[in-house]
Amino acid sequence: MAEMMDNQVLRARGLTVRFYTYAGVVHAVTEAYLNVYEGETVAIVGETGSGKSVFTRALTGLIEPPGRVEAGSVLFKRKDGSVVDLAKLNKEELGEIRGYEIAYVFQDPSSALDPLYTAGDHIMETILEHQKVGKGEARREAVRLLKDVLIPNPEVRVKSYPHELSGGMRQRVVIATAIANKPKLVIADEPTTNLDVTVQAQILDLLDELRRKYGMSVILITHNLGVVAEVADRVYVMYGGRVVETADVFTIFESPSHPYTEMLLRAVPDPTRRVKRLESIPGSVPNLIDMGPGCPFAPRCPHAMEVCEKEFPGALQLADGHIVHCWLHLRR
Amino acid sequence: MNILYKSSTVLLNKYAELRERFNPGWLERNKSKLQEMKLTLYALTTSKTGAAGLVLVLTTTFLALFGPSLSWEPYDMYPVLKNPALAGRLPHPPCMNDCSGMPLSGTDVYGRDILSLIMRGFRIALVMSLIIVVASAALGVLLGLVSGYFGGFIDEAIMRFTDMMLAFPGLVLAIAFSLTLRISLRNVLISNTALTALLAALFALNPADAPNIANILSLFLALILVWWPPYARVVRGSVLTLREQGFIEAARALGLSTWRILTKHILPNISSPLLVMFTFDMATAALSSAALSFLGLGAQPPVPDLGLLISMAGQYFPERSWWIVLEAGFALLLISLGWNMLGDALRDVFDPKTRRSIELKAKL
Repeated sequence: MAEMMDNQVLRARGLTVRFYTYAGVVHAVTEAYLNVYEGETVAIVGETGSGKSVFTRALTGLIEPPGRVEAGSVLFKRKDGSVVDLAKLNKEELGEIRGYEIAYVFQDPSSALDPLYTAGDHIMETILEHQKVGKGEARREAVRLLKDVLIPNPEVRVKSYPHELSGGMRQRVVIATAIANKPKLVIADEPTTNLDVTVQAQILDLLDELRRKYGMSVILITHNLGVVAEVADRVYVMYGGRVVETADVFTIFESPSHPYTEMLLRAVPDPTRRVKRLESIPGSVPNLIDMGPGCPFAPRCPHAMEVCEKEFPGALQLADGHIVHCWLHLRR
Repeated sequence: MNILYKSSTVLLNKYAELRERFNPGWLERNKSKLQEMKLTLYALTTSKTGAAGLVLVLTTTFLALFGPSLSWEPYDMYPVLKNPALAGRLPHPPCMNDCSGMPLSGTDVYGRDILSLIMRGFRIALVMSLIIVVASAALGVLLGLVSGYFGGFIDEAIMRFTDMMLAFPGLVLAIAFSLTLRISLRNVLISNTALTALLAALFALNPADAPNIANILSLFLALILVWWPPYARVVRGSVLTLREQGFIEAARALGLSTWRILTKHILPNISSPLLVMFTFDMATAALSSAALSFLGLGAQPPVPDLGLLISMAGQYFPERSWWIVLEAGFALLLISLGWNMLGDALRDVFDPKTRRSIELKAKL
């Protein structure tokens, strides 16, 4: 088994996910990799359809047919310190880890709660599934967790049904459910997309605070670069199902090296400058069905060379922790 | 003004009190559920169809529960055997004034009082349709849940089998099943007295009449076998839409077991269309089983099955048996009309679109 660093929580390598549909094979994720260390926030950035959600779901085997995890290893350090390969575990073992050691917060808080159960029921259900505690204990814990996620009147709200809660409150309940078992890793899949801007900021602050309080690591999936700059420690940029660049957050914003990252950053409007027209990346997201072996960004890349179409470039370490996959830098 | 609503809320409150006594805090936790339940009852009882259906269903259920003990004649004693003088005058029509010992409601060909037979008939009809619907719903729901949730090859296999079952005309298939099952069931029941006694008690029949009980058993087993495919279809469809919902994915991501997701999150969410379907099917099942015994497949005389009564009246119809057909037919009508109306009202109540309008109307 490959090594993991002492303070490393998760080490995914070569993860490949494909969907076998009638239209063809969708190469949703191709040889993606990820490192997560203790107590840090890792952001995964990419456009819609870049495979970031599928990648993080594949980490704990949450891929439904016709999808299949084709290859790769996902080493994870459990709470008791043992290291397991999530890609090799069976369903029951994964069930023990999901919700207990790795928890998810999904994008849409309005559908993430079952309309038939109260906020408290959702939290209690997770606790009771994974821990040997009584119902009364679980209920008290649920109230405490709701207080943790800054819900006013937690004693009353624990009995509220989802339709009685606002969007922001619902997302707080979802977060409370996710942290109910003090997981080592929380995977937040665009947790603020459906919320308005002030609530977004509150939710992000809350996640950050909880991360510090419980010493969790957070994987934050987003396409909002402002959010990334705000809360992330390190960033993975994904395009067409592949990781194209990774670095710490300062390097990504100061000296992006992959043409895609560069153009992505240029497309963010700068409030200090007057612009006539917002920058955009020409072309559109590639169709992931039956992808060729080349770099997925090649058709839109201004620097595209012949080799880009034929082969995906290997990893090139530009600096400590700054890795880029681009022929431009490999050729130099 | 609304006795049905008042009495049902009293019952509900009593139930809640009872739960609260054994389990303090229950009332507080389930307050909104209770409120919602009362609202449902209110909507149901204020609609005319719902109230009428509820009354009919309660009446027929009451008759099914107590009819056999209320009926004043044993069903398996033929008056004509005791009193051979009757022989030429049977079946005897209803009589108004000059009855000379004959019952008011008329008799069948053996001289038995029709009304007394019908009182027993309710039990057979309702128990039969209850067993048919509950068993086939259980089977169909299970197959539909598995099929919809797991998808892939399992789904394909179950659904193609369901299609195959649906492709046969239901009653014809049931006839075939019941004829094949019959003989072996007879042997089973004759050797197994405990089972026979249980079934006899369920249908309020004489345990000594094992072959007839086997006939009834073969009939409803056959109907169960052809009854589940629509349930499997409906459940699978609902599961397919439901499993894409965020909370199912969230439940999986939280590590809940598949069984728990199916029973706690999927089943309760599809329960209202199921309940409506269940209610309608109670009526259809009662009619179908009566139809099969009309064709001579179910019980044989002297069992007071409503379909059988009508079938036996057939050879004297219409001049010398119209009252039998009328009375037994009316009993069947009460059962099927009641459940149909209740189902109709329930569908309106459970449909969120019409529900709000019912509630609004109720408040005005």
